Amino acid sequence: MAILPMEKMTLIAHADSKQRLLKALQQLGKVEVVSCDVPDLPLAGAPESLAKLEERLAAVREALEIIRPYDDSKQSFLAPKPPMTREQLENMPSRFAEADALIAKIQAFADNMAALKARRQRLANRIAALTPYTSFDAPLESVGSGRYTFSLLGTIPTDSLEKYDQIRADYAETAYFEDLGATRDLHTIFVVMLSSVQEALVGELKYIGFAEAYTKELSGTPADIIADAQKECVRLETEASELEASARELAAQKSVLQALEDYLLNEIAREKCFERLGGTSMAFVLEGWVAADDKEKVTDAVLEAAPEAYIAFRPPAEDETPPTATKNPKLIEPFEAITNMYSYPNYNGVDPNKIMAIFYFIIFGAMVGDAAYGAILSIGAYIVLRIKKPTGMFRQVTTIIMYCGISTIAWGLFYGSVFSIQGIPAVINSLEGDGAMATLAICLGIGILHILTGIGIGIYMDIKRGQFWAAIFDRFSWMLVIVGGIMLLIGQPVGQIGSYLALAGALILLFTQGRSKKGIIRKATSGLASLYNVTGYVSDILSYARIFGMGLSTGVISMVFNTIAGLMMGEWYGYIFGIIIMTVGHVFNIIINTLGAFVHSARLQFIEFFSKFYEGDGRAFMPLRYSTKNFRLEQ
Amino acid sequence: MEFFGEHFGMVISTFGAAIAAGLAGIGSAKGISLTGQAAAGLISEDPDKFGQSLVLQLLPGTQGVYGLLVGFLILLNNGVIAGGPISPAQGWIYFFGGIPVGIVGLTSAIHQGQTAVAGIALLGKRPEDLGKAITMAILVETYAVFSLLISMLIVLLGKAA
Repeated sequence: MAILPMEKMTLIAHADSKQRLLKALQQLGKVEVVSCDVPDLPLAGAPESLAKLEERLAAVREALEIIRPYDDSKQSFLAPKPPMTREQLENMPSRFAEADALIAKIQAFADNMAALKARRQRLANRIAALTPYTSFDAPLESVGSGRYTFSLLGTIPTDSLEKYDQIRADYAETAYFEDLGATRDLHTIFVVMLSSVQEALVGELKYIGFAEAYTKELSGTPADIIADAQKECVRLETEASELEASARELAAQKSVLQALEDYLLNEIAREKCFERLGGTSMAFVLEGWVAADDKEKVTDAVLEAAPEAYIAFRPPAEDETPPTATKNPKLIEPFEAITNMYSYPNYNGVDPNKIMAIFYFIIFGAMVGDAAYGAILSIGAYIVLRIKKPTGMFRQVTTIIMYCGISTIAWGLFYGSVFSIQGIPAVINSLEGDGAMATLAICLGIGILHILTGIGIGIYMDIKRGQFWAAIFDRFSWMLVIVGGIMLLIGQPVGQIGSYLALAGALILLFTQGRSKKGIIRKATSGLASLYNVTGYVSDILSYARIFGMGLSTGVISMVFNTIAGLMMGEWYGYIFGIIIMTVGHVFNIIINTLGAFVHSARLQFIEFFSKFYEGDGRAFMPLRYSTKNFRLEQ
Repeated sequence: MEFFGEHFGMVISTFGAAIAAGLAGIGSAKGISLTGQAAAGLISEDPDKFGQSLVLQLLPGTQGVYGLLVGFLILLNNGVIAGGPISPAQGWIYFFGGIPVGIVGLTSAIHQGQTAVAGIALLGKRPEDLGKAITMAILVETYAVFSLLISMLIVLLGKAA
């Protein structure tokens, strides 16, 4: 189907052609290089150039990280990534000097900023330490040992005040005590004492919690020192803003660093492949996976780069599982994102995307169910795609929303819901009893169709593998049971046929589900037990009732907002409030319900549909190619 | 009981709708939040697993939708959104119809959330077994579906007089 057949490629060439060949393969982008598996052939080690490249990449990333806070360029959400051609990417080495100079400047900036911060911190500490002593009006160098005296500057805890007073009384003859001020916890004091009592008094003071001020290497009064420090701080502030201005200029040049980052990423991807090559001193062997359709292109590219090379292809061996590459029509391709969110298709399984996309399209529309919302989704997604030109999964999801918006418009017209304004004619009005039942029946009907399709795909897979009878016993029987059961529920006249179908299906199951077991008892028990799985199918079908619930919830929420806004619109000022409420309400409603529809539609695919046939656990095909993170690569 | 006069039917059945939607919603919110917290932990180590964690996280959301559905069906029949005035007996029938999906939705969603949390742990160790994790969580949902079935049967088929 849409899973591309893969072939294993073996390439042998002269060691000198390694770089040229790998570059050619990277340019082509169609070969996944795997570890060479030839017995007795050692793998080449990682080249030194790889380590250098990774070092350089780390330096580039560090530089980008440093200037990121100073990057003023505001990227609007819709702005596309700037373009870059492949030549520009390959010519990056010519800009190495420019990039290195920029990195050096950024590094210097970072170092200067750090030094400046450290100085500011030291000054702030000094100011904080000296602030309690601002009322001390003598120069600090005079504190300490004198010829006959010793002086001390410091603090005592407020709790010790009583003991301090005691000390003052005791030493009244031999020391002078001055109070410099107090905070809630500390008293600042200055003491001058005769040298003879120094040891004793200092000891007693320290005993009650005296902490000495740090005055060494400081000169001038505390007030002066603080003033100087503050002036220095102001000067450092200006220096800091100058540095930051220079950083902003550096940040404006970041595009060369981003280009370098992308270049290095691609170089590293290529160099990493070197580790997977087996080699002797003169030659090397490369093994990889290629899509069978691309064999010729790859051969041409290889022979152009290395005319002496030997290249051979073979289909995958019994025990090999090639990576999965899917190819789907352009309309279906975005929906691959949904399947891949769950699990990549197995190489030996089927690609479910074509059918899944159709059901996803239908179910998404039914879950949102408002024509105006659908128009907004489609147009909005289209605008984003055109202006922003996104890549990767973001592009796929936006495209899915754009397509499913059309389905939403259709369902909205069906429900008669355009912003839930009353009075628009509808095919079915789901807010009335009968209409509700009909809509619920339609949703469950979609579910039954979905499940039957899933079983059908399972039957197709079995038949393709030559297991015709397994298809009948294990899958077709359930189709009979389901279809028969539905007919029974509908009643006469189809009920009669339905009962026969269901009975037939049940009998097949009863007799065949034990066929792998030994002994008649075991066979019978297995057969009987398999009928229990009907609860699983009932559960699956009822699960689709959520389509009805979600579609209804969109309509009801927007109706509520309309009603509230309508109540406001009595006076002229009411109109303004009303419009605000409507805008906020409908925007909220669109976001919540689109998210819910996206997620629940996916869930129905994964759980109710895939469980009938899907084999996941595939490995994505990752060819060696050029890819860019910061730019859009153009041909 | 003549508390609300001729509106009693509508009042009591609206209570039933509130139970259905309210309790089931609580259950789903709790279940999804449990799973989301576990998923955030997984993503912090391994951001590539976001899509797969999202699939597990949304699994307990089913019960809330079912409760909403039954609530709608009741309101569509008892006169709040549509439908004629109903007798007290009919109102009681609708009330009881809202209970299964409300209560079972509440408890099964929380338990399903706990199962999904374990599934996230499984996903972290063995990413190829996402299908198994999902299957284990889905099995819990079977009983929520049964409660939905009963609620729907009561609401749609239960006619007094």
